[in-house]
Amino acid sequence: MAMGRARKEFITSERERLLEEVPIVDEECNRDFIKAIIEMGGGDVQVCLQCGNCTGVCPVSLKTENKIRNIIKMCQMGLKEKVLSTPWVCATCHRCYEHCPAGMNPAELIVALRHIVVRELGPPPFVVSISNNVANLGQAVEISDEILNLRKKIGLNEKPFDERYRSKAIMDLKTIMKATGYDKLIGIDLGD
Amino acid sequence: MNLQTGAKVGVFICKCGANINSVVDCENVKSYASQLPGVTLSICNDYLCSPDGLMQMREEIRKSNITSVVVAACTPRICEKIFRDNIEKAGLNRNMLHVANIREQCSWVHANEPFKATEKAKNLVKMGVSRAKTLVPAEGVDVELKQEVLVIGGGVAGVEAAYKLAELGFKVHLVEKKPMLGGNMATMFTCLLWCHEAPGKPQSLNFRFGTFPACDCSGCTIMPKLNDVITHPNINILLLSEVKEIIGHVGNFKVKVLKKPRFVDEKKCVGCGNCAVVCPVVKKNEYDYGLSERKAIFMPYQQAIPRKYVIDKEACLRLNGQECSACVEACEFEAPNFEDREQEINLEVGAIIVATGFEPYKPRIHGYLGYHEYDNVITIMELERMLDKAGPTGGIVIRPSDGKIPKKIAFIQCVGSRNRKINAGYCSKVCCMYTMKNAQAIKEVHPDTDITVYYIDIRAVGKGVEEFFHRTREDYGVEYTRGRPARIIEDKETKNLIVRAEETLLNKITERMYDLVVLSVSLVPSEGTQELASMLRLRTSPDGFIQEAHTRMKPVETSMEGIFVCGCAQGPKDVPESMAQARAAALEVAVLLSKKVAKAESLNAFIETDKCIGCGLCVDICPYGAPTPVLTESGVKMKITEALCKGCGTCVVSCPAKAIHARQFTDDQIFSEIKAALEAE
Repeated sequence: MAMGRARKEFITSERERLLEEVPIVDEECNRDFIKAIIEMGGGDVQVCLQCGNCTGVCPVSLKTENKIRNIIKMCQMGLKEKVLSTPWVCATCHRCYEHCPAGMNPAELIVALRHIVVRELGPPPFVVSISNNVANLGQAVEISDEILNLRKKIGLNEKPFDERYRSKAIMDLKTIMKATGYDKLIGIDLGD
Repeated sequence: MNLQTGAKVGVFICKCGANINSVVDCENVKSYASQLPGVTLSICNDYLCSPDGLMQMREEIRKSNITSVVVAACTPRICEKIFRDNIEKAGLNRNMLHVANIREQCSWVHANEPFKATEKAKNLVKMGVSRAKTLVPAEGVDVELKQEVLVIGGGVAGVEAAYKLAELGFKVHLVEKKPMLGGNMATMFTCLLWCHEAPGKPQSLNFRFGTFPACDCSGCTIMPKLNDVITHPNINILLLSEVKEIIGHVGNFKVKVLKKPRFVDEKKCVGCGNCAVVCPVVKKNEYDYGLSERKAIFMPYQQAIPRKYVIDKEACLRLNGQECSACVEACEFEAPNFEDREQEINLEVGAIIVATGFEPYKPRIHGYLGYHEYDNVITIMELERMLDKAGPTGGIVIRPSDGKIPKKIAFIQCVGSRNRKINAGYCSKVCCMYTMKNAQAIKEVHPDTDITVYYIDIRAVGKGVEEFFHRTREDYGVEYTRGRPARIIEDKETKNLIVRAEETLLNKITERMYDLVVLSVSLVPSEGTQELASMLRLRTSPDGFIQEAHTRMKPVETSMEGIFVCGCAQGPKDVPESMAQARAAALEVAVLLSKKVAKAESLNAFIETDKCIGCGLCVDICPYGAPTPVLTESGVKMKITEALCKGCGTCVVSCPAKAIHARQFTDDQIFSEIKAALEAE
């Protein structure tokens, strides 16, 4: 009697921790996805042997659930929905490329996926704000007031760069962004 | 134009089932051909090369008194000989044939453009008809086939081929670069009979370990064979020798072999080893992959056959101008001979077998797996030598850093295999199995060792090999983890190794510590394969091994007639397969040479003596040595020895007086084709 109750309690508590996974079905496998990837420069995605060498050398693989090897496999299967939510953690350090025995370039695959994500789902907020900073300030991160005050306090120039050269460089950057359509793609306002 | 008067050309068009006919409109080509000037007959057949097709061809030739034949079918590389034989049977000279390739050059490459493909086929037939009218009968020349064979490489494949041919009565010259026979297989000599007394050993397993999958001692299997070969009266063994030059052609190759000095008289040396005891020079033994030391006078390894000592020219004091005669004084038989000199040996052989084998891949100088940086990372060949009872460690596995017996060993598969950064990315085929064999052997010697194998895919195919894999995991408890290691880090104090890899089946990154890491390295073509291939004018495949003539139908033939390939020279393979190929190559040689005389196709060049100005350009340029100057009444003239000429045409284009012609490709014949091609419709 006691045994039966214990088992029942165990099963009930375990049940809450069980995953609600469902099998991958045919509808999720989009074979045209590979064509889109190839178009965006991830052409060698089909050469992967799934050896796992890339994951082993990847500096961020311990921080993500979907390792780079998993992403490649998902691309091969055409699991577009699953893949498109993942590609922003990669540091594009290209270590995977240096080690890949099949001669594949997984980092470039990630870049191709980012192209697709931006075009289909729009850029994630952090990409928009970084792009805005680059276009308007010439650098990805804005220098905080705290730092500017600190510089002033210890007698340094207020800004750690020469404004004349910087504004010319920002003009050039804006020209490039306009010419390539980058501003429209990301949705940043370049002013005039 | 050198036209045949009243030439009657027969055009035979092959539909090749749907292979040609589904693209090229064969009936259209047929009616087009029948209107061409000089064409008496034009026929289509579904399969011209079938017995029925060939019979129809013969009957039509006889019925219509055809004088020359155009066959529009597949490439002449496949069926030309069949059609030449066939028209000969029909009573024509075998030279009265032209093959127009309307399959590879029309229906296959222009499959999307049937109309244009048909037009091209018509044009090719028209050119063929035009050339067929200029063909002249010619007889082939008889070539005497030398009843001697050269086998390059004294490994298991070369030795087997040489032995079989010698038994058939051919004189065989066996050339080996190293001072001993047996190649790589002989270095995997492992006889573990002794360990059956070892405590804690599973009782049911009664194996010895040398080569997989039967796990019999490789030495025990190859030694009797090597002994047969060295004592065989028909085999001339040339050790420490390399082929330097080969000219000639099937049936008559002239070979120059360079035999390096051994500095020990092979006839006098009994292999007692007294000389090595007193020799003052100590070097690392390259035949034990640096695991042991040797003297300047040495035997590569204990079981080397023949059991004769050899002196290292670079290391010996006496040969480098210093005073030393230790070995001479120690030898009772006066075997050391410092007067030994390099010899050049000239051979004339009818056929050649290339059995140059493989060598284990050496990881890159600073590879990421740390082979050169860390003491305890070794390759599989070093492990093989350790497991040899008569080898450097007496049959036990040790860590090179401290000589201790490792408790945890990792094998890493696919080092140099399946890697497009290093080579063509081929699979070496045997590494999965040799790892299983060695893992089992280690478990037999040291039963409490933990072994992990890092692999990408296990390729255990072949008879009994899957079972062998199961035994490794089930009976011996070897762990297999799927994932290619990313890097190896050495613990500086203990010299242990941390292997970081993804366990891809669990989706987790692992970092595990081992005492010893063994790299299962790939098989690469042995050094000098490329040079030998270019000397013999053989093709090599992208992986660097020698390319066979046809992957399926001609597995031991090469692109050069009379030259055959067997064993690992053709690609990585295991011992049973090498043996089978060696015997196949031996049989091919025997079939070829047993005819004694062969008829060569009359492709040869000939000289119009009147036009020859005796400049001798053709003599310099001919790769086969066919033209020779002769003194005639009207001065020096060139003469071509037809048996030596291969019809390459080099002399034809070089002749400033236009005196040389290739028999099947005279200017008349080629210009008639070009003219037909450029003619307006």
